[in-house]
Amino acid sequence: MNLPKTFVRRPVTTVMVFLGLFIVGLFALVQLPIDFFPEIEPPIVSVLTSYPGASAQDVEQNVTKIIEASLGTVSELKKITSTSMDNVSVVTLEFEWGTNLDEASNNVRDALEFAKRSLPSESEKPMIFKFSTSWFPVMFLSATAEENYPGLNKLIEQKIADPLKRVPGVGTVMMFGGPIRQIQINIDPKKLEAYNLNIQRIGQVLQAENITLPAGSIKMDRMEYNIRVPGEFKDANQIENIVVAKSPTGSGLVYLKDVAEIRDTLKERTINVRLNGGKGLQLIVQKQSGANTVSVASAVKKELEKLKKDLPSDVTLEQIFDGSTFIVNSINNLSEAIILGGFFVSLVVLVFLRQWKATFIIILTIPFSLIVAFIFLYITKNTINIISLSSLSIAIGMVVDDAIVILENITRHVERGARPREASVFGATEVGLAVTAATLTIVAVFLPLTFLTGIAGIMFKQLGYLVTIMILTSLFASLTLIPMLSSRWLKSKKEEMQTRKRFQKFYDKSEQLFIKLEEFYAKTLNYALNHRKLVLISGALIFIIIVGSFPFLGKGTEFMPKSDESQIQIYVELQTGYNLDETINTAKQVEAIIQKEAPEISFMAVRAGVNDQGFSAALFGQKEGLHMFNVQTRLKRKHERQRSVFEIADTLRNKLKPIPGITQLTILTSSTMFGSTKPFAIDIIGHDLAATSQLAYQIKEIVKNTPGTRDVDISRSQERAELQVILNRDKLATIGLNTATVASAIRNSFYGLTPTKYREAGDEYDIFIRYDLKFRRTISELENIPINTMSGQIVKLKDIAKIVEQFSPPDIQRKNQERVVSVTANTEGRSLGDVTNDVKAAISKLEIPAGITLEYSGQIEQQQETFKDLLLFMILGVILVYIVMASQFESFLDPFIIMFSVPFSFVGVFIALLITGFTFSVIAFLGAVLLIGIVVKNAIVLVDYINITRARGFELREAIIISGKNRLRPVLMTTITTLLGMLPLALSTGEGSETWNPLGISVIGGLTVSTLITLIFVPVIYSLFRKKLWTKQVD
Amino acid sequence: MKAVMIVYNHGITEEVDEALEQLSIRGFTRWIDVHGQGTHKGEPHFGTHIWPSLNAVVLTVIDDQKVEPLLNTIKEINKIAEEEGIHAFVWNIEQIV
Repeated sequence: MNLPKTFVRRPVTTVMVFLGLFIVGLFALVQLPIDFFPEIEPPIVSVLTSYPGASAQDVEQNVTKIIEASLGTVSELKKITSTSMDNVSVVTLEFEWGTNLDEASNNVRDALEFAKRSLPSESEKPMIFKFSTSWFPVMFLSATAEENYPGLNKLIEQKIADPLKRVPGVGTVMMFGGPIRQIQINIDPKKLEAYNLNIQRIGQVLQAENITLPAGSIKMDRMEYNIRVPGEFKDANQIENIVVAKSPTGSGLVYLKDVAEIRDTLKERTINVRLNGGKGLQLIVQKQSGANTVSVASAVKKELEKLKKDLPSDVTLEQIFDGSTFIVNSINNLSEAIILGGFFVSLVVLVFLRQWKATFIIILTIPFSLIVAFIFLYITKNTINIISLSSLSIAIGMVVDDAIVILENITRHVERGARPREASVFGATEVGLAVTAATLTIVAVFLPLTFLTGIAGIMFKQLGYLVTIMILTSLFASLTLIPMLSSRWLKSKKEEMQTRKRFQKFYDKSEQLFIKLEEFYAKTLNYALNHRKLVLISGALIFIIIVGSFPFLGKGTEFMPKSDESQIQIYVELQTGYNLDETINTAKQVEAIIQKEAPEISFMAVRAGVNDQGFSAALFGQKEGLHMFNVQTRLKRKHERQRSVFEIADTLRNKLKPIPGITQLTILTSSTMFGSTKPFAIDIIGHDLAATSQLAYQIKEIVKNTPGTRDVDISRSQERAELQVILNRDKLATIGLNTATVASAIRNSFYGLTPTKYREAGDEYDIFIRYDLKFRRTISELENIPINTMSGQIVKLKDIAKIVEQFSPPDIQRKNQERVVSVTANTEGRSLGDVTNDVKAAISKLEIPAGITLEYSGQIEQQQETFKDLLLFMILGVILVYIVMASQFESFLDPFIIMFSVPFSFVGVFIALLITGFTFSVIAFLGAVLLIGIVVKNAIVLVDYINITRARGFELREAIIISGKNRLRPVLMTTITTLLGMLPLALSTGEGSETWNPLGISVIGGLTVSTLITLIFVPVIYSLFRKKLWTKQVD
Repeated sequence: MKAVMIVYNHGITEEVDEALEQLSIRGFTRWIDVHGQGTHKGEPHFGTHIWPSLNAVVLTVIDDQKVEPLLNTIKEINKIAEEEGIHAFVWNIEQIV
């Protein structure tokens, strides 16, 4: 079918087709949700098994090893890691990206069925957790209060947390660090002993007294009365007057207050939350799996506005972190970049054509081509994210290219005297094939992006599909809409002669400039053709010098460019064994320093200690303990502050390091997107705990001394001191005791006992008995715990057991079924690739004991994988482009000549990165790969025309110069539109811009250099090859 | 009766049609997508990548008195769109069935 003919003859149909496309596109655009990245579901499944009472080493031997062995054969498994801690084993399975996780977790379940038989009987059933991005919190909220502080927990739960859970898309709302009321009974063991009592006995008494029992009914005459025994405590003060025993002397009663201090107070906390330096609690809102962060966050915010009104005036609720802000701001910035890009493109077209109507016709292809991208996103249930918007930004300058070539040919016919109607059909048909071929070379580069696997695949698949679709749409529009509009709007030569007069002067003047430019180019080309050797040698030299010096001058390689997300997270670990009070004291010091050193921080929340709810941190691969705390901060927006988040983080690092007691300080500036791995990680694999730990400390020193590293850490926790009570079983047996009774006696005294609950106004509060704090401070208190024997005698613990101090590792990590210690670090100021190389060099001097191997993981692993993927993809791109060109030219040689412009695009990329100081990241690499398709387009246009001119009978040299002059304008026009289309992408400085800056920079650099080279270098090579071929043929 | 064969570039089809209409010439035969090349100047019309344009041919048999006006109109067209190319050839018709 002849597209231009069909559509020019049917203008109404044409308008309707494109109007329809536009309306459907608008509909899709309005409906599309917004997100930061395309949907990434990390292919991770965790198996959690608890084995109560076992030490880390026991758990490793009896649970973790067995589970690992049985799961090792699950299909598509990439990596298996585990952490064995006291009581808990966590085995994490990492699958290949793109694995169907439902299927994978079924396989895991099946494999676990086999493993269960070999697990110890005391261990609990293994649980399977699918890792999901919905675990990343959508929002952190904090609540602080003055008078209402003691009741804050209940208040917030009822007024805020519960209603928020009902908001659509909200998964869970968790609360941390709020005060919880508790009735504490603090026992004085001396007095207890004096009255021959023990904690269990007191527990039983309280349980027996705090009871309300319906006791039947009684019938009297016509009435029936219910009988009740209302013994439940009505007042907390009642408790202290409970009789716990008769006095041993027989003269009186022993009340609870005689042996203990009773306090109606707040629960002793294992977690403490401080907000902007004051007391408070923290709320975390998580979304349901599959829900959209931005829409959930906005729904939550709306609901919060309503809920806030019900709070007492002293209670304030603040947002610490809103997961949607960064996303929304980034998307807005990128959208601005696209609109600006579109404006620049239009301006370029106008300058070159200097005709309103023609310019307008060409620019119309932009909205139509771009809107189709939204239809695609909508149909495939994708989101508007930075990858899809970057695709738009890349495409915006390229979608006009086809239209430019077609319109140029149509105008040529019109100027020769054809009527616009006919000229539109023939003009479009004549160059239709050439335009299609040029478009296919672009498609040949972008479409293979959709074949990429792994994380690169997730990131760039969308880019591949979108650019392909937009470019194909622009081709369609160029063959239908452009000829149709030209046939209607262009003026024939006759009409033109009458109306153009007004602008004639301006037109002629500017035309002079273009002609001068063409003359200059012809002269340069002539010179180059006379000095072919000079051109070749200098070309080769430029290539060698730039590419050769880049590894030394450049900023190195990196996975993803770091972006300023206006937040800093600080993780602090103190000496193991520090208690919460001590941790909080240090946290207060840290707070003070942060407030002084970083006024840019607008909000700060500190969380210290362990979360009551247990193991969530272990699943995330984080460490938790009473001696640790973390600080989350929110900074002012990027344009409202002078220093970047990285500079602030560095200042804080230097200021916080000298605080005594801090053994580990980690400062993060990004919400870790891809797992919790730090950029740099070395895995030390070996069975011997002592030897690997020692090596880990050596390597830690090396990494620390390598410039550019920060927050160096070792994954294995420091060995922890513990007191072990070793019972003498012979003695136990003779006095009729067993391990369980002794252990529970110790537990009741030191950990405590909750025998019953106190009820007030419908709420329940724990009544908690244990030794008073002052009796829980020395080993001798432990030794003197009285234990009742069966015969009613009392023995001291020291009579039946000895207490020894032991050291044991609190956790053991494994990777691919072998023990591993990781040394991890963040990087700052230097690229990951450089740091890794330096560390490698230093480590090679170390003597590594037998049986220990080293592996580099962390982002360097992902980086190498992705770089390898992109390299393969680049080769595939080059081959495909060659295939398209070879068939277009029906020649093996011409595409080869054209390919000479490709290496120079890399030269341009390197120069641009050197000038701007960006690292060679995956994003910059991607830009370099995309350039293959973009840069050959120029060379195709030029070589194609030289071929045509030659075939029309011109001598080689003349043909080259004529074609050069003739094609200079189209080449410059399409190149400058692409360049300026991406300029805002390269220059934008808003939130998130660091991620896409390198893409724009590398494409602009590569395209500029390769275009300049193409215009000189390619014709020279052409003349060289063709001349040889000719002389051969003549011979 | 004379036969007039007009060979022209596709680009000026409308002009040729209008010329025939103007002179109320109803009968004609048209060949489209034909190749050709001028004797002295002008671009070849081969429909190839090198020479992409194509010609069309209109053959019409008309009364003798209409030949002169037709040729004049064609000259007019040629003045405006010389680069597109148009030629007319006239010869005698012996018989018509």
